[in-house]
Amino acid sequence: MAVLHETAPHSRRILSLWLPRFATERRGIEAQEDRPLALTRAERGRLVLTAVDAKATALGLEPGMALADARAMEPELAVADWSMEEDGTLLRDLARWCVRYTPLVSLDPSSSCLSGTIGGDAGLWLDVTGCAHLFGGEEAMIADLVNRLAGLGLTAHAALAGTPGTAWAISHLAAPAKGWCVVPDGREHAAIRDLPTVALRLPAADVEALERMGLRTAGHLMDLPRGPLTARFGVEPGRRIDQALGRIREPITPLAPPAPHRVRFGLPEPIADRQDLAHGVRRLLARMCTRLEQERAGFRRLRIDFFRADGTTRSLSLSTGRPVRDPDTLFRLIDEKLDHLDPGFGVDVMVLEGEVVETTVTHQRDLAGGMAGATGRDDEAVSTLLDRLTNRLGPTSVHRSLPVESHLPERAEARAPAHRPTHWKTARMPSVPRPIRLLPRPEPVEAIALLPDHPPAKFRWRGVDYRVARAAGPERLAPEWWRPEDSHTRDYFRVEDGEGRRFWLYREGLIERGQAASWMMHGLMA
Amino acid sequence: MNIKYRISPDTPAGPTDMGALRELVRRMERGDGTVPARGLVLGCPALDDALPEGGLALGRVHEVLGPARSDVRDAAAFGFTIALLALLMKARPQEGPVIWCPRSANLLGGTLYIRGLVGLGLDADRLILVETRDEAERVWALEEALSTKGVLAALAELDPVRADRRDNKTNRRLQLAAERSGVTGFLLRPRMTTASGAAARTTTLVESRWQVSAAPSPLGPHDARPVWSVLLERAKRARRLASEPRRIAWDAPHMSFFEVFDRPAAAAQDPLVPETRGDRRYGRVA
Repeated sequence: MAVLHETAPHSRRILSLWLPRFATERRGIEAQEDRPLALTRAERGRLVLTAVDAKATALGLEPGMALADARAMEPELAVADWSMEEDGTLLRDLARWCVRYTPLVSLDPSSSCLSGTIGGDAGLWLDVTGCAHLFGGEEAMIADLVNRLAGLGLTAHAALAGTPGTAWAISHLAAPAKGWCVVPDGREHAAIRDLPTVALRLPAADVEALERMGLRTAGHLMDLPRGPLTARFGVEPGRRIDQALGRIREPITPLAPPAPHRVRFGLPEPIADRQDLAHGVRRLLARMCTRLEQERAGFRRLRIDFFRADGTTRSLSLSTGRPVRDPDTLFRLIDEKLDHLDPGFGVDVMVLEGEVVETTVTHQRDLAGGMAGATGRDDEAVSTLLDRLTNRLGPTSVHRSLPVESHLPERAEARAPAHRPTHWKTARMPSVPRPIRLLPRPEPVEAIALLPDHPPAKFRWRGVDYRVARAAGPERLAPEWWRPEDSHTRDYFRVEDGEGRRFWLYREGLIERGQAASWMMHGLMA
Repeated sequence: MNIKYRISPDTPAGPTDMGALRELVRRMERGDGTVPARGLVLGCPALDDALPEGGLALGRVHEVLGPARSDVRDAAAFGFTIALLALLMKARPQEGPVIWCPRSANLLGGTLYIRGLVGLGLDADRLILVETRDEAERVWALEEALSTKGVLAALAELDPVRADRRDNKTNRRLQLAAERSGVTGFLLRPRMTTASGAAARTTTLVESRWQVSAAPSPLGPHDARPVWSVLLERAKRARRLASEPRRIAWDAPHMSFFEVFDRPAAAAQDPLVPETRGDRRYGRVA
């Protein structure tokens, strides 16, 4: 038991992570440029630097300068727009990645991308209480975190302390060169007392006012009697001191993990009737679709599990070509499948789960209230139709044909999913007509033809004789040399028999003297 | 109830009135929502003149009868239908896709070759193929497509018409679905043959029925425009039906049908002259 309570039972261990150049370094990963980089935004009619990278800092540029001044100092400066949204999204992704250390990860609201202040930095708090031993101790864990971020190209300063306030102060203001620092439990006071007052996360105006009174370090403030301090500066400095020293608890707000798209419908009695099951499915869909409506998302694939009274499970799954969240449309697709569902002695519980959920693009309505592009609603109807056909006939049954650049007719097209647009208009087309029906594999034909280049005068195919009345060709198609299995040149002819049937056949290979030509039937012309 | 129907004296009575009244009654029978037929002009008087809308009625179901089922060598009915679809797609460039439900099992006659279809003028980017396992699924898929506003046309390759009345019911359902949504339907069937092998007349309920078979082309040997023997067997409210098939050619570059006649025999050329003698360009894209 003594081992378990080695640290005080209420002590927390908070890791503060500060990425001082987050906004520029996250771009640097893609940019790979040697020029110094600065991000700008428009402020009072001029462009102001909001974040600069290490190279720019070395040249004396800093956030808050006007771009014109910065350009004057460094004409080679690379400039990009600062996007708070993109930074925020990436920071949230990073926070989710940090869940590898602890489930409780919180965004630092003073991060540039969240508060809108200049600087381009970003911060996270990780509540790692009781997690460090999984990584071989606190030192090992924090080193692992900083090194992994360095591998991503992000400069990271991290500090681990008993309170969020102290960890924040150390990571922002006193990180040693190696990038991390661990403050042992109970040593918060000593760790921050020599840091400037900014370390207490006070508003800039307060920091300035304190400075004017000669209160430069956190230690000065901590030594002051609380009464006059509060009377002069309000409760904020006192509160921050107490938070940093752990006298009052400062909660961090962990990022909520995304809730799974899953709803459950439990039943007091098992049901087996098809209509009842359909009703249950409707209820599940109604609940889930209301949520999807708020999230502006729709199902691409969903599954419903029916837990039967006898302990077994039956499932239905459904895929759609585009995100769908209309309960009626989804129900129609599922309804057909319910016929094949065997409820056994009854179904206790139904669980609907969205396996693939995507955000939808809502059609912009034009001024008259109709869909932009006039056919938005029709497009949706067609999409629904394709989904119904796919769901009943099988996933590969509904398709389009895709042009493939190949010399061989049988390889010149491929199947594509029906929802994917094809580009026949820009495909290279042969100048000579092609058959409208192609035999799956060429069939041998006995033909009589004049050598070397004449079409057959007569031929016999599938046991029937044909006399050629009209013919055109040859069109020579060279084999694809990189495929050794078909190395023969083909000379194609379009021929018409006495009754007007039109065929597409070819002579295989080049004719050698004294050798019979081999003829193949390959398709039917229009 | 004493209601008297009167025709006001200044209404001229005549065949036009009767036609209009019939049309009105027809529409009332079907209830609301029926899209009145519009005609797709085929560009060939031999065909257009017989059709009441001055062309192929859109939003209706048409039947194209090919050769008998045993004869898979004759792709004429396919060619003619593809030409009709190409014309329709060109006339309605902004509208939706064409759904084609081919008979997958019929591999003896080959499979659709899209490059050939494009060669006939079809817009393959708007063509969606639906593979089915049997006739029932094809009819189901066709009906689904016909009831979807936003689809331009739907086609199914079906079996020959059976003698019983089941097909009539099916066709009536398809026709109603097409009328409500305005989607044009095509049924591509083999011609039904009697025991002796002669073509038998069928009596399904469709807007128009065409018999199409291969025809010797009187055009020059290098003229690639296809020629078919086309007989409009029946059409609702037809103006006049020809008793003999016409020879109709399809001019894909100009997207129009035209009627062809035999050339004088003297002008016929030796059919066995190669088209591009000595043309040995390699590496042509097929």
